[in-house]
Amino acid sequence: MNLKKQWKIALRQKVKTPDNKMAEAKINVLIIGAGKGGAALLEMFCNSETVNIIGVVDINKDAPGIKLAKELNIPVSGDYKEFLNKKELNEIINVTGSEGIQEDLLKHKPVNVEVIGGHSAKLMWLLIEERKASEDERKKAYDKLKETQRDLIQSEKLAALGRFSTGLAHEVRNPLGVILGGIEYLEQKLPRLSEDIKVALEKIKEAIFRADNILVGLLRFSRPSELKIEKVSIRDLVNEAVSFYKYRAPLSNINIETQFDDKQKSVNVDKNQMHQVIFNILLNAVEAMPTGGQIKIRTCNRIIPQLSLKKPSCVIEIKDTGTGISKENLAKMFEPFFTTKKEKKGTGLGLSVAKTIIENHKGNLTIESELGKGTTVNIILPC
Amino acid sequence: MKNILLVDDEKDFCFFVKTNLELTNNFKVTVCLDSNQAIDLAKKLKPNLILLDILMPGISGPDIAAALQEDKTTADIPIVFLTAVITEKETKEQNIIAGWPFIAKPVKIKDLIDTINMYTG
Repeated sequence: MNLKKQWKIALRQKVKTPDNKMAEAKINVLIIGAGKGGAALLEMFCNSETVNIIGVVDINKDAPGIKLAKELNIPVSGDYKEFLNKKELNEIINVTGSEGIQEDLLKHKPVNVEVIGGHSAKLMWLLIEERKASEDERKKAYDKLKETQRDLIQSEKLAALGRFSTGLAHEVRNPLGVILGGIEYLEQKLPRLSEDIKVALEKIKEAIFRADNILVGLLRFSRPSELKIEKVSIRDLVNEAVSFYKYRAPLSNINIETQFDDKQKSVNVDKNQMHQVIFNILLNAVEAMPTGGQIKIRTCNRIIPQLSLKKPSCVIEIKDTGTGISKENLAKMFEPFFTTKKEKKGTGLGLSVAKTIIENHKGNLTIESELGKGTTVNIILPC
Repeated sequence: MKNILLVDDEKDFCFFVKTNLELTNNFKVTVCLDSNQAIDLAKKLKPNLILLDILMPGISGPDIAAALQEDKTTADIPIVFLTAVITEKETKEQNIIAGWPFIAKPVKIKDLIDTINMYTG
């Protein structure tokens, strides 16, 4: 019987069950030889709907197929004879390449049991290996396709969001302009305004600029400007961003400490956008410490296990001793418009914008936090 | 007295810009709500400066600006775009885009006056 025919039988044969009815029963196979060929067969058949491996045989206890069979709870042995009398046995695949074993099997096998061996078995597992390789390639191509599709959807979503936010900005900022114009008109026409009316008008103006800030954040979030990448010293980058808080931090009883790794020299980034990221994170840290506290900024190069990159990444760690974030809120921190800030101080876009900027730099932004203990934000950039 | 032509389809916005500018007694503002009439009006009035919205029904702001620049009689009139679709930060960082200055809405009257004075001398 040639290989093709044997294979056809092995995969399509319907076996009679004890009650003599035709059923979609599995073919019970014994694999002899658990080296590379046997292991490949076992791997292929272990989730098969048509083939059931009843045993794997090899005199080498450390053969890869034996190890795999043990993991899959398939009986193993060093001697095939103990399987030959199993009632359920339908097929034997001999991958050893040994003519002696093949002859012995043909001599001692039960009448109804088929034996595939010699060149046929070798050809069989070579075909399987080849199929596995092409499956791997197909999987890689599929993964690549999915990734491209994800990128396309993402950019299409961003483009749609860009169109939406431009439209929204146009529709909302025009009436905001009318309200502001109206307030300024009243201020000019009614010069002797009482204090309470002045306060009321100021509050309306504040509300206008708060609403405008949300729209500005939305515009920036949905159409991040093109990166102007340049080589920047990490020390300068951090110090420049921190300098924005030079006067504000001491007033809030906040101490900002920086610690730089001397081995770290520079990083390729868009300086202005990175300032915005650090500025936004520092703003959150400052506002999380209403009674004062400490912000530690540490920079280093280290391997980030989650990124599965072998080379180290450039990390800027910003740690505060503020109120911290609950687990429930932590999961939402990067969502646009999510804010925990009281008194309507936040737009909920600072961290979303920061994350978008870092991802545009092919980096990552992570947050660890515990209520009452503080928050650590890691800016991770390619070195 | 500086003559300003304000081209914008937002009627109430125009009302307050005109009123607040004219309250200073330094400006005379003509409002044009229909962008299709803006070019003819600019040629007729020869204003000291044109405040121009970008997105309008009819001819868009940039098309009006381009047409006025091509015409010798209006080419020297300064144009400032007054728009809701750009951020204040963008106007500060690069307040000249494609040759024309921009101001983001909503704008404080003081900022608007400063900008007008900057381009009208």
